Amino acid sequence: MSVESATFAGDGVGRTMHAALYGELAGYTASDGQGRRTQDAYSLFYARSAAMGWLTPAVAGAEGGLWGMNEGEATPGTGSPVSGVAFFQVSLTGPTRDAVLPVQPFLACVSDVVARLGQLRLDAVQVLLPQREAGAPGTLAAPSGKRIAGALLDSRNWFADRDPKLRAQLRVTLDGGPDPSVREAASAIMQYVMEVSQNVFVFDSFSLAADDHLVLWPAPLDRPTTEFMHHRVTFKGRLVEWSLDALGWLAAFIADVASRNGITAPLMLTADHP
Amino acid sequence: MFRFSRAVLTAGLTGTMIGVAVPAWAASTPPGTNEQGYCTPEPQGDNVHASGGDASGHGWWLEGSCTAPYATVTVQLYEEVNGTWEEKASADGSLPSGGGSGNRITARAVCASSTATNWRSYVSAVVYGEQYGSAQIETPVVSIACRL
Repeated sequence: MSVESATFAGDGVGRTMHAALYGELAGYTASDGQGRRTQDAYSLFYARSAAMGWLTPAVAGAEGGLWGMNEGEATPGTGSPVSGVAFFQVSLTGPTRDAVLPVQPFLACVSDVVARLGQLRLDAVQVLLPQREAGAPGTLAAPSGKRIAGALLDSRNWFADRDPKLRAQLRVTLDGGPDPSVREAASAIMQYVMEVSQNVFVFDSFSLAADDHLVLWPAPLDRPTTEFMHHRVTFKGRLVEWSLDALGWLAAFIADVASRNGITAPLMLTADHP
Repeated sequence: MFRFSRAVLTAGLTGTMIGVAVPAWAASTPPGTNEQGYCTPEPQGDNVHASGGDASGHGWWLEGSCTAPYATVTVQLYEEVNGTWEEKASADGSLPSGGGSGNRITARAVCASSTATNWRSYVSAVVYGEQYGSAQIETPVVSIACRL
């Protein structure tokens, strides 16, 4: 599988969100040769998105939904070293409450589709968080007056009673590409997250050192024709569970906090559980 | 036998009109009826998007009121250049209805730069054989980081 090259969406460009899964997809074959697999990653993602009300049809005047379909593909993967097994790309279509990025439903849809295709062993995930709006008021979420998107607060209890044994060590690298502000704001982001009342992800530390970053190749933000700068920061902590569902909440949460700290440019989030 | 003729395009500063030629007898036949072998397929597609350094758009079809197993699906990509829509890529093929594995047509155009540019596509489905019918959709205008 080739990881599609995404672009940093600038002003005036539609917002693209994509997710690449790395690991192994056991039992998956593109075709079983007997015509029993009539659907692929693209069509299953399209169908699941439509079923859940997340799809905006690609027709003039369409209303509702969160995204329009772009791409979807899957391969069994080779298992080791970390290899891509699935890739999905959508274009965001609609406003969301408090401008929260719909990463959780996006990764939930990805998870549902991949479960239809095979047995996923997820080693790492990479999500492009597109340009975000600044200035959404959000909801009070800390004694210090910190705010986050209300939808994130309302959904945190989904993970409230998970078995503590499921809590997973997590490494999260944020790549701001040519924008250095993510490194400058790393300390403020971590402080912000630690103050917000939530127990889905507990931050332990952050690092700006190159050796600490999680970099998966090919790096989807690279443009083959240009020298591309990467400004990265890596956070370590503990996630309530190693699942695409929890990773989706975390990605939306980090995007929201980053926006509240002045970073609205696209970010590439890469996570694993070392 | 009715043969699909290429979509007729007229472009102007205010927009684009496009139509698929239909035989004279079909023009007076209510859509969705098949007493004379006429039916209405349902073309489907996605918005034009950036993918692997290309502008890309997919197309497939649903059976609509047709029972014919195959239709010719055509995807045409249009880029807005100085206020005028210009066709930059086209792909077509004969597909079974329903989408799914291998049952999509993809049109691609290689980007020369990542400058924000407006794109749209047209997806048409033409059923032929024992049934005749055609339909076309226009996808919304989207701005993507791709200029030819």
